Amino acid sequence: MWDTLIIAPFTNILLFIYQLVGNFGVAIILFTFLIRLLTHPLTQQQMKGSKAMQDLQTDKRYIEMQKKYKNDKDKLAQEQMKLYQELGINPLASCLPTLIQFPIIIGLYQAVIRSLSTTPIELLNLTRLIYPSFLKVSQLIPINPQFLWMDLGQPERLHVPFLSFGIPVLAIVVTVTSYLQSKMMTPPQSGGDDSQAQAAAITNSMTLYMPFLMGYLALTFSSGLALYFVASNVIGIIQYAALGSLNWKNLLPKGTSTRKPEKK
Amino acid sequence: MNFYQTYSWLKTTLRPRSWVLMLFVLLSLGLTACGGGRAVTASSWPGASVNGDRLYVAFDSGIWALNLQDGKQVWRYPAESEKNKFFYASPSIVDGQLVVGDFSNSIYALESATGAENWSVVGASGKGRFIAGALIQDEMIYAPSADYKLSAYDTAGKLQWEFVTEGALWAKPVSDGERIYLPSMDHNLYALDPADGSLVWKLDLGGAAVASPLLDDNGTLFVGQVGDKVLAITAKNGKIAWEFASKSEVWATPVLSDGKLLFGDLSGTIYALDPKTGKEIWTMQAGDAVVGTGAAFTDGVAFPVEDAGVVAVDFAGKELWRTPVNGKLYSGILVSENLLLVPVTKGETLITALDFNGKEQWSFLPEK
Repeated sequence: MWDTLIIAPFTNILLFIYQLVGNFGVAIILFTFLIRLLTHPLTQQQMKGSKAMQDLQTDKRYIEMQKKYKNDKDKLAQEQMKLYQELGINPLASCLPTLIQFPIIIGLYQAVIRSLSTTPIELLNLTRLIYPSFLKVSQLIPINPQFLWMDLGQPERLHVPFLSFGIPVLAIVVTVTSYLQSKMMTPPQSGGDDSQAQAAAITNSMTLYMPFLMGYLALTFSSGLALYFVASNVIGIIQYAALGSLNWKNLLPKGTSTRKPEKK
Repeated sequence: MNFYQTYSWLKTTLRPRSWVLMLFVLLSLGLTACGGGRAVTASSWPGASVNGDRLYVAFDSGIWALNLQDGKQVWRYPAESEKNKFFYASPSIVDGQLVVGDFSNSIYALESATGAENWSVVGASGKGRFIAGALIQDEMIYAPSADYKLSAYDTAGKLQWEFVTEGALWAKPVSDGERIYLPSMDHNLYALDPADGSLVWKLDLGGAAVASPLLDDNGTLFVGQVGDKVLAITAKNGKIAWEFASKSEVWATPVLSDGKLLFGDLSGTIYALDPKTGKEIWTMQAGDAVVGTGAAFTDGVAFPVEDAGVVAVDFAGKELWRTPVNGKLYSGILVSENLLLVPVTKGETLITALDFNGKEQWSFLPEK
């Protein structure tokens, strides 16, 4: 089921692009662009969801209920939910695109890995994924995994003559671009009550830890995945910039863009 | 709980770090699923060979020497599994030594009687795993590896020469004593001088060759490729004598028996061709993909059929018998004086021995 619905179409599209451009690294970048294009409506939805949640925090009723039920968390949650329903806000709308990215990331990774088959069983499985009416196996196999200095089927390390170990360039680039992306895409936060502080804490944690986690994945998994991460981050930043939603001020020290809590 | 209540519960229950951890675990699980991890993804099928009264099987973490008549283990190498030592190439015998390459670039020479290690060399670089067995010819070892190289060693493991192709080498070369014929994943078949590895000719097969060619007594090479084709090539000059379009990819070495060329493809079709003209004599449906090479015996040819067991066909294309085997059949079937030896992948046995009527005589599964 997973193979039929996700892996097979992903693999065929990826290999089709590879057949057109003749370079697997370029194919991954173009495929990432295509995926970003297809998920653009979801990205817009995410931005709307974030904006709605942000606007809510300045809503008079919302501020009042924070004060009123300060010591009754359950009641506060109930009242918040009522307000969400009344205003037609889906609090998970901003998370949905992120969740949808998961099967895409996993699907793309497996498409990359399966395409770069290096053993007989892997190749056998790959040939079975290819739609024979769409692609010709004899022309595709073997697939060249080289892109710049990388073997896209292996974890990446750049070996330089004066060092005894390889430098994980791509893992570093993934960490940096992930950090930049999450920083620049984080909307200004209006702190104040517990709930907002908690939301801000989640965001800050994500901004801090996720780039390192992504970097760790790039370090240990095939460089094809790391290339996807880099391409996805860069395209994501461009996409948000095009939609006018980048928060450049977040890159400045001490979070100068963060609004101070309103005085009570 | 409705949607809003669920959200509220999640929001109040999970701390910030829990969110990050949960995302990471989900992503990691997804990426490592289905063999994604891949530091050493040893995914191939058993390599086996018969010599005298012994059967040698290389699979995963070891090589086993078995008594051919009852399947009892004689020895195992290494005695216990070792990190990054995986064997899938079929072992070859030279000078009382078993020569076999592993998935971590090394070639080992073992005492065939005891399994004691005589020597080992690092025979490849990078991801140069040894997928195919080595050709033994005139006291020389010709080892093809996935790092695109054919390396020639003497029986003491000293490198004599190397020949580099443009693709991984997954198939054992063959020789007529004058030349070595080497199929490559780069779509070419190479003819080399065994003395120094110099190129005599090369031929574009139109697709990657993953199996050894068959060389007949008339000097014709028969080779399949993953682009749905079998070719007959004149070994002397590398000219194509004929081409045959199969329904699907041909992963196996053809078998020549009863004046017919017999092989199966991934569509499960078994073909019998006239080896002189490439004309189809008959076909039959085996019921599932035929990946491995068939074995000719007195009454016909036994084919390993991926999920359908062993299917024996007589020389007129009529099914003689069919013996189900628990597991997948990818490796070629070997034949001894009175047994068909079937290597099994992902099954309850590693080797199943059948008599020529398809009745199981013994089976072998290594101790864990």
